Amino acid sequence: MRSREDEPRPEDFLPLHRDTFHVLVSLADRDRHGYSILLDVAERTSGALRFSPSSLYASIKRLLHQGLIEELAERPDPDEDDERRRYYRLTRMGRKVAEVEARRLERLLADARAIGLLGRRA
Amino acid sequence: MIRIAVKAFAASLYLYPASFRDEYGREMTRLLADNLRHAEGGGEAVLSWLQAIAGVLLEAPREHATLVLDDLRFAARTLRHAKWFTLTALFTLALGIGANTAIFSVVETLLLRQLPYRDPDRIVMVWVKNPEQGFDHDVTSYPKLGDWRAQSRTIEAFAGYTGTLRVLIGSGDPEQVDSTMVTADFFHVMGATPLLGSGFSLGDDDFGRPRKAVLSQRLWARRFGADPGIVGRTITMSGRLYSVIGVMPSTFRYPTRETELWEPLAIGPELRTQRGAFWMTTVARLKPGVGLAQARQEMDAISRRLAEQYTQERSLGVELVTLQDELTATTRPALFVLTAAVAFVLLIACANVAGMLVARASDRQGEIALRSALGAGRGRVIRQLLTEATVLFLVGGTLGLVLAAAGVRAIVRLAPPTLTQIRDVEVDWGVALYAISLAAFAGLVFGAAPAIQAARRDQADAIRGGSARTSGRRGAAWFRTGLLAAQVALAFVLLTGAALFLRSFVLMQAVDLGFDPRSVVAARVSLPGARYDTAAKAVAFYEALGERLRAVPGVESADGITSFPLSRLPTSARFQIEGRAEDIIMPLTYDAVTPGFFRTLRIPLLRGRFFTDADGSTSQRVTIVNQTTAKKYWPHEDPVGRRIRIGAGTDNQNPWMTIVGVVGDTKRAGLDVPVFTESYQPMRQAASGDLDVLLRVRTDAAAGIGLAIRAAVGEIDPQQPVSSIAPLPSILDEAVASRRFNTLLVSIFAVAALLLAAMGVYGLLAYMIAQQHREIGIRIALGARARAILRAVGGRALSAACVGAFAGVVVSVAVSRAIGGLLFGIAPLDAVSYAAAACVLAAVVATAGAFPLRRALNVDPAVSLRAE
Repeated sequence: MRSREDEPRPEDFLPLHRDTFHVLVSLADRDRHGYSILLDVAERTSGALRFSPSSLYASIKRLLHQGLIEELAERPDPDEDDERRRYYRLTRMGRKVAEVEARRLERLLADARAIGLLGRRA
Repeated sequence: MIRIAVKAFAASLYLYPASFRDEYGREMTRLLADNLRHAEGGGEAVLSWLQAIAGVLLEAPREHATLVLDDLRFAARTLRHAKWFTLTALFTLALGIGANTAIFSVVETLLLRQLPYRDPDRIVMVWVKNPEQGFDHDVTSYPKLGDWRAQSRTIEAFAGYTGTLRVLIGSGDPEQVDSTMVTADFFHVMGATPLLGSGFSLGDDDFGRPRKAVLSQRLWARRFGADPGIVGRTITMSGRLYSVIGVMPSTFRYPTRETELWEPLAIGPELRTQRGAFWMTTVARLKPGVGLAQARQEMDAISRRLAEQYTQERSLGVELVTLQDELTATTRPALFVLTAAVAFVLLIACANVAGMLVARASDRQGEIALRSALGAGRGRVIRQLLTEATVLFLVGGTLGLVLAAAGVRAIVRLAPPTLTQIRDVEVDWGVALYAISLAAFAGLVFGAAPAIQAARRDQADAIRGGSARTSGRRGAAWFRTGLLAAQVALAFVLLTGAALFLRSFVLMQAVDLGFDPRSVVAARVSLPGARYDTAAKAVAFYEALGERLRAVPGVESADGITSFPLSRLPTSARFQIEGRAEDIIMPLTYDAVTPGFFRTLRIPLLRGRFFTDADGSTSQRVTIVNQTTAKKYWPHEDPVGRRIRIGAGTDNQNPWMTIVGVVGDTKRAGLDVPVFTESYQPMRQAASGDLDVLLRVRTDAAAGIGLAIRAAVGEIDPQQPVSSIAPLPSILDEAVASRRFNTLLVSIFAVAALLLAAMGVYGLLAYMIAQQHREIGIRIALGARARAILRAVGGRALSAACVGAFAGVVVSVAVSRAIGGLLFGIAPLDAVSYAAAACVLAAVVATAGAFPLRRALNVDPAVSLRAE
């Protein structure tokens, strides 16, 4: 358990677990419930990553615990919803962490390109 | 269909910790339902269901692990903060678990460990019993062994053996070694294979065969430098040549650990036919698949047939005991007592810690309630508290293990030398596993009640604190008083046990030995039959030795007897009384003594005369009997002048002996062994190769006497060794050493129990007073007298102690009966022991309670009321 006194830096959370990162990315554009996250991730990865309920909620629990996401008290769109769904939103720290991780991956990708691993651009 | 699949998934969620399930279970189920509903085709649905189930199987243990880790971390932190609590609890547990582990390691080695022989459950001892005479563990005769061999169908093989001393010469000083003479199939029966060479083969025990020997690993290493070429070599023992044919591994130490070698038992034609000569110990190997009961039944039938055939054996039966039971028979009752004692100590220790946990839980009620309010379910709180308790017990168990290792070393050092196997005892992995399992088990059992109780409390009430306090804690107080009663009961049982043993021990020390061992030094001489082949040569040696020893300054008298210490199971001889029609078969011991023997040991003459130098080989055969013999066979007449004959045969072989005297009984077989019917013969008429030399020495001369004895023997025969030179009191002391050992251990455990119970009483009272601080303050403010305060505070503890003491008496009565066989000179319900235990317990409990009670009287109402 982390103690509250020493405020963590976003870098402390890196590198992120693959599942965790996907959840953060999924929540970056809007607040979602579990099934919505699952569908979004499946769509973005063209079905390559389909969460099982267990793996999704293990990630959600971890992220809640780390303070990177939070559960919403109110539901954003009550029309297409039933009350049993829980919605999650990125915290400010969560957004920072996702950004920092994305940057890190970007640098990694750039390095890979620079060294010719992906074929040098003309 | 989807409903069933979802339900199955929901059920699988029970693999998760409750907290996780409560939080996410519904969402997860819902997610799966969505997944299945939107699946494109049955195949995808099945796949995603399987994936979901696999996910649960994978993730659930991980969730449990994180939870346990969290709990452990939390437990470690809270325990570190509560230093005094933790230290006291750890000390208590280490004591309880350490004592148990130490005794367990002894039990494991002595009782539970399998004998290192092939199929050890098939090895049995075969004893002759005589219910009429009240003995059931006697040796047998060679003809009887032959009958058994011929008639038994359930027993694969019988082997007979008897011990002897041999003088080993060559490659070093002459040395007396313990040899066991065995029939040829001995190693087969024992299921033991030699390390080197071979065992004996059929016919090796025929009379007149070349002599062979199998060495023990110990003798081989000590005397022959573990020379691998020893097999086939010839060694000289007691003036005869033996060829070494094998070496046994160090694990084979039968019949005793001291056995140095085995040789074939070459039975002469005379012994082969003497039915009255009982001298052989018998071991046998059951046929595969034959149970002990079956073999017993058959042997009983054989025994009855033999009783009909041979009238003098009509009262004899047979007794079969497994070798394992036989070897542990003497230690088993004592170890049973010790195991019970340490179990009681552990229970008291656990009760103490459970009491402390309850107290601590009520002090932490606010914290617990807060955790509950923040969403920790009851299960979660119980789980946390249980983890804390288990951590405490496990650390305590580990410390206990360290304590046990030290304890075992102390036990081995304190143990009587006769308990040779105890030297094998050590704290090994099995013992460590035992200690840790015990700790974990105790942690779960004794941590559960406090944890459940703490979690049950009304949260709102607890957070509010203050006013409702007493009612919320009533349950905890009851629980603790119950523990106190149990502790007092257990401590009482241990104390009575210790008191009974102590009193037995003291009474035994006060037993009249019937002789005076003070200032007597003993030494053992064993003349080899090859060089001392006639009785006259042995007598000449003994007389020369006596003369030389008497000339040593400080020696008042020097005498001898064939064997001074009597075995607890003396060999029985058929003995006849002249003029009585029936032969009697019963144990009558016979020892040759020098004329001054009785005076040297100050054994009183009751009738007739002692032996004199005139009782020589050519004069009338004479004997002296002890008082027990006289009373048993001549209850109303004077035995002096009567004639008896030991053994069968003609007058030439075993002539009639005239009783010339009756001497007082001696306790030379052991203080707790009933006196046997004994007889003595003059040395000149019955010399044998063995002699215990007994010297009465002036105290100032005792120091150098060992050297003087060796010098005197060496002057007469330079090749003759002397062994076991020791003051007689210390030899006798060995006999009581095991009793002292038991008494000491039980007393140590009783003191530990007492200490722990005192801590329990102190803890409970201190806790109750702290709880009722405010109430006491008000009472004092309102003018309550000291007595009323004491009654209010101590009343419950006192009644708990009384209930406990009563229960303790009840249990003690049962326990005392069970240990009756180990007591000496007192009845199991010995009033003195019970009273002593009660007094000690009452004094200690009162003292332990006095400190907190005094604090209660000194409560300052102003302070206590302000504190609220």
